[in-house]
Amino acid sequence: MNGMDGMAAYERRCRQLLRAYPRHYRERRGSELLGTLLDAARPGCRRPTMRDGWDLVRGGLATRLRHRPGLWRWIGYRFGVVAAAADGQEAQRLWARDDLLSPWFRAKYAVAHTLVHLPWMYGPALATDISGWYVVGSTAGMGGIWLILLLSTRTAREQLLAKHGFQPDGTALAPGDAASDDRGDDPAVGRRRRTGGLLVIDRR
Amino acid sequence: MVLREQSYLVLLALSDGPLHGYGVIKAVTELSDGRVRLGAGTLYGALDRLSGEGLVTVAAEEVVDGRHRRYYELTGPGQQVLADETARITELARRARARLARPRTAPGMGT
Repeated sequence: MNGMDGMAAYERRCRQLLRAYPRHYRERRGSELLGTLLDAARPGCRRPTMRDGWDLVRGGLATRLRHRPGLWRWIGYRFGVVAAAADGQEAQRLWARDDLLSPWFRAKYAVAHTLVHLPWMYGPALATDISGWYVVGSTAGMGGIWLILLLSTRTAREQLLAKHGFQPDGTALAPGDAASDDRGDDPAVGRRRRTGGLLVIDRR
Repeated sequence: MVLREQSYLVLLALSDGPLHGYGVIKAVTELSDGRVRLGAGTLYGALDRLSGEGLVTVAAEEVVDGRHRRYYELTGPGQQVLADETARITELARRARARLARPRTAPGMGT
């Protein structure tokens, strides 16, 4: 095992740890963080020390917490009461973008809307003696809602992205918007495009 | 504004001129005589906070050996906060030295 292999293993491990950071942060700062980690690596080491690894994870989680919307705005956004997760703050707008582009968005969307519809679907049956056909009807209704949700998630995602100022692919609607100027800088996907006016082509 | 020790050391590291991330880590280690060794997560958390407060800004960017580096520098307010904090620490150290130099009084004999 030579030094190059060791450094490649080190870099791979760092990329994994950087996933603790939110997607938008990795896109904007990820390659810089990775560069600093590689600069600081001891020769021959194949993985960050426990201390350095924990420091990265803690930093990533703290950044995620710092960029989240407040509890009530989050609840309003998740359950469709308010359109925008952002309260005029850029970090929250980017949080919403991360959420909407996440592969988990469809599941989160479906669960949230199911929770909204459950009480009125099954509530009467639980509160009274109604059962049988009512429950069958409610279940069919819930199935219909799920079908609508499945078919409408993409549209909902695009509408919500537009409300936060983004195109369906996550790039900014407004030209020159710093929010998405740095897309593609994410070290977790191993490519880098443009960073603050600096064009770098570095496919790994 | 009272700074955390890490933030103070980061500002102090940048007082000599712009530095990139690893440069700041090395400078902080030297300044603290090896006592404070910043991890990348802690460093960038501190830089984000200090940038948010307008004390630090990005001076330049470059790619060296395929590694992306951003150089940070102190802003005017950053230099002012660093000078104020240094004066505060100096004054505290002066008082501490004066206090330690005084002969200790026995219990109940002090005024």
